[in-house]
Amino acid sequence: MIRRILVPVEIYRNQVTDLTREVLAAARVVGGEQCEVVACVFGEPPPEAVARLQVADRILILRDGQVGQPVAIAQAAVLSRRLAQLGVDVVFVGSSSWGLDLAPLLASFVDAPLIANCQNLECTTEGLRATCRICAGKLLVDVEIGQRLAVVLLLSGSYARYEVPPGKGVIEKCEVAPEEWDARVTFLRWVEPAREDIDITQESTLVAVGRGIERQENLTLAEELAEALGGVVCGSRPVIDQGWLPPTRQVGKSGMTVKPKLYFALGISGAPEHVEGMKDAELIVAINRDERAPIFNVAHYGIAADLFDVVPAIKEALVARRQEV
Amino acid sequence: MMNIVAVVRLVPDLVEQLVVNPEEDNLDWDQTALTLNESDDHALEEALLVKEKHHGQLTVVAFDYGEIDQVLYMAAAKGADRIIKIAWPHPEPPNSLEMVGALGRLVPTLQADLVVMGCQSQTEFFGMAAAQLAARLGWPYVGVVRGVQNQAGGGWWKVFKEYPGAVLAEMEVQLPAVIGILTASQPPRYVPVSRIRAASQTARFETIDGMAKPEESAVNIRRVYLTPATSHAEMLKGTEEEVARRLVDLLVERGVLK
Repeated sequence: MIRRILVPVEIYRNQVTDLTREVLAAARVVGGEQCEVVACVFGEPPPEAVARLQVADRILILRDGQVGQPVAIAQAAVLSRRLAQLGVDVVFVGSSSWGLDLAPLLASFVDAPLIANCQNLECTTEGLRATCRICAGKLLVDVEIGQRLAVVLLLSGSYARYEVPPGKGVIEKCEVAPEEWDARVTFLRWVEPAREDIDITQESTLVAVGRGIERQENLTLAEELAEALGGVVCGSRPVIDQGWLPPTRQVGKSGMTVKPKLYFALGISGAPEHVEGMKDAELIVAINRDERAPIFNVAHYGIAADLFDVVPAIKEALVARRQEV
Repeated sequence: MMNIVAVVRLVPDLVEQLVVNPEEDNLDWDQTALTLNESDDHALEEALLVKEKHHGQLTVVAFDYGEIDQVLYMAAAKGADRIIKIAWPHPEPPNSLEMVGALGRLVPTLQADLVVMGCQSQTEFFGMAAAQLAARLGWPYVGVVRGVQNQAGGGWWKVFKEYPGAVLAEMEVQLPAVIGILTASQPPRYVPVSRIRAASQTARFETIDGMAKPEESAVNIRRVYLTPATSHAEMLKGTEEEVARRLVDLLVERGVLK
């Protein structure tokens, strides 16, 4: 039985992230009525941010003098000294850029096992069971861990639709001594992307390309399809990392979240990080050679074929229809 | 001179079909094609950029399993000065804990200033080697990084950590440090096959025995399986022309064609 779950709160530009709220909901669902959910906030959060944490029974504010700067190693060190005193059984962390640093560091500092890429969690009499999604979502691993302190990294979307009642929401404040803060990493500033490019979040039709596009020169195929559909081209991480498209065209966890009317996924496998950014598109069409590709689990229409054969045919069919009209 | 260490790992090639072993507790590694972990490829590129800019020495470290020699010849052709293979005499690749254990023993002997590796690999689920290596060494860590720089000189380096919406957090980290790279400042450089072939004739690898030991995780694996389709797209079948026509009809029906 889990008595207490701690959820480190991520505040991004003075806002509690949606993922943190989802993780709090997960803690409430997994822990059950007998479990206390403790939200742990760093710095001096604005009152409206604290108000968004009412799912928790206890809101612990660790005043670290850094005004909530996202320095995961320092925050993990501060937390690690308090877990035993707080009587925490499990720490749930959202799998964000910040969480991906915080969770493994915290697990190491307290010598606790880490379970990463979790999408489902279940509390049992023996401990905790989890399902982890790895290999770009192609593989699932069911794991269990006995009754001991553990750190869990929860993927976005796992508990997004759960409605949970508010907790007690008791606020406690605690000072962090300057010597507790690991000053070897400091936050300087946020760097905004150059905005000379179009804003893909405002487009109603997107043609997204993934690793399956193979070469930069093949982007022409996607651009022609986008033009025929009246949309624009965007991409998944491998395409952006190659420098074939600017970062402002990246869809996914560390890119843009888009909700177009039509989303064409060409040669995209459907890794969780990509799906996170496009799953709410009104209509998703996926083309991929691998009929088991996870992208087909979120698409409305799928074509298991070589995109280099199918896309020209679609383009021709679009032109033919236009001529008929 | 600045000492940079880049760690590279082989992971399942996701272009190929994955096969689970009959016991359903791991991949069938005999049937699993391996490839260089993508973020490790970027970490290697970032290490090369740092080496070139600051006249450093680059040591590339890898565990000796699969076709790692091909990756290491490529690293040598790109400019690695020293290559170390950690002996791994087991049929399965090392897990994160085993990697952290071995690297935690090796890195202090290399007088490294900066260790870079991919912030995550595709198969990690009960550990994340980069962050946990930093903790093992007692060094600072920043992960999910796109590029490192030293503008001011000295022991503080700037790193750019990725956030959603293509926003970056500019941070400073004091060396020695471990940096978990997601993306290099520029795409990994191309190296012609002829140079890789030449490197395979001249490059010398140091192999270190006894550094890596099997380590059990407290996380018990109950079952490994291919992701079942919980909901599935309506699959369009037929010739390319038939599929294309049907799709266009559907787009018209759904009112999404302009």
